[in-house]
Amino acid sequence: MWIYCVFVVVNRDRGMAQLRLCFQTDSIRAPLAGIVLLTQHIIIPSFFATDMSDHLPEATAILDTCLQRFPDAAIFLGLQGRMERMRGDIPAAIKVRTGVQWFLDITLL
Amino acid sequence: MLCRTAHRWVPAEVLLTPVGTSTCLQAIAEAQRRLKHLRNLAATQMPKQGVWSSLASMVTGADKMSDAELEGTLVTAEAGLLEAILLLSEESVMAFVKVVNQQVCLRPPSTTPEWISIQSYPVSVCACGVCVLHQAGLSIRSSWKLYEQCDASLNNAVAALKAERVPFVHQVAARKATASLPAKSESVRAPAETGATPAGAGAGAGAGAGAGAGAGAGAGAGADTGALASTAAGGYYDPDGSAPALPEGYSGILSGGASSDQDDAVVSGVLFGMGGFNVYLSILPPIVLKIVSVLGFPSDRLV
Repeated sequence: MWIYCVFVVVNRDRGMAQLRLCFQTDSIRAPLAGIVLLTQHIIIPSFFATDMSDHLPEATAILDTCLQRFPDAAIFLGLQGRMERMRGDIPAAIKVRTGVQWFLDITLL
Repeated sequence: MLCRTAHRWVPAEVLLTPVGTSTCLQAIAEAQRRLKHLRNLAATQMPKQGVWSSLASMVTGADKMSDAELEGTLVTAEAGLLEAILLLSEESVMAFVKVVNQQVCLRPPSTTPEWISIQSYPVSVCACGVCVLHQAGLSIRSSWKLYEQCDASLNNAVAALKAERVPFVHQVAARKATASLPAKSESVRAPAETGATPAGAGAGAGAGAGAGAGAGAGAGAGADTGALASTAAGGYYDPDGSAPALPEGYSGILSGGASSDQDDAVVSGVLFGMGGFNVYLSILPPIVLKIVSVLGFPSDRLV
């Protein structure tokens, strides 16, 4: 879908493709691109969508990769808890999220 | 006392909770200060923009930047973007809007505008006390323009990226997971894998072909590309370097043009910046975009 923005023509699919590509590089922006992708796949669908089946695979893959590299990162743990909640695994979500409650208090996660 | 953060009201104690050696608010202010200095520093590395050169670049297209200029432009753009994000973390989405209406200003129109800047905060308040100049919208716009310049120096490889050529992340991950840890990945991602396995196998074959093409292009273009390609193949996804396959789109970018001799960090920076812009601007509702465009930017800039 094309959206005509201020002075820019933005294209969501192209943006997601660029972020995916950035996530697969070996640079310092790869985890940042992962965070942006995860917000698209976890945060935003949790407001609107009812069918998570097309978001969960990629979110799971990105989260696995990121948590393997940063096992204690609060952002990724909070997102993981949110993803477990979306999946319906409430005990796992509670277990994950209580560990990073201080971070969740000051963010949207 | 309640403080308003990006999305809700939280007790002030939470914002004043020590994080490291400072509180959250102090950390944000410090980060903004450092970003400002970083931006000024990196801006000195950007290519010189004169009247004639900008006119010439409008006619003939932008010149290629040297490596140092490219990195300076990229860092400047990223610093501006991060400044805007930090502002949003304190304020709300409406901080994007640059409200600088002289029409609603209470001061007499003959007087020169007088902006009082708040220390370590990218916002200026008019002396009338009503209108506010937010600089987030400005820095976002200039960041986008800088990213476009960087991309033009990369032969527009990023902006012209075909979405179909980039495999979904779970397909790449599934391929590598089945190569290394088949049992664990099956048990962890059982619902995802059942649907995605044929597609993942297809993407694996396609990406293998793409890796072959990329390797061929690398051999043609020189050893530099080969090293970069191997970095990408053994990169973030694959710490032990066991998977030789290169993501298809990445090899396309590498073999697509002059970007093959660029640094990996530059390419990924442009990818991240333009991708983030594309994604985040596209999820704003159209009415907000209209308001932003009317308030913040000249209407003749509308596409």
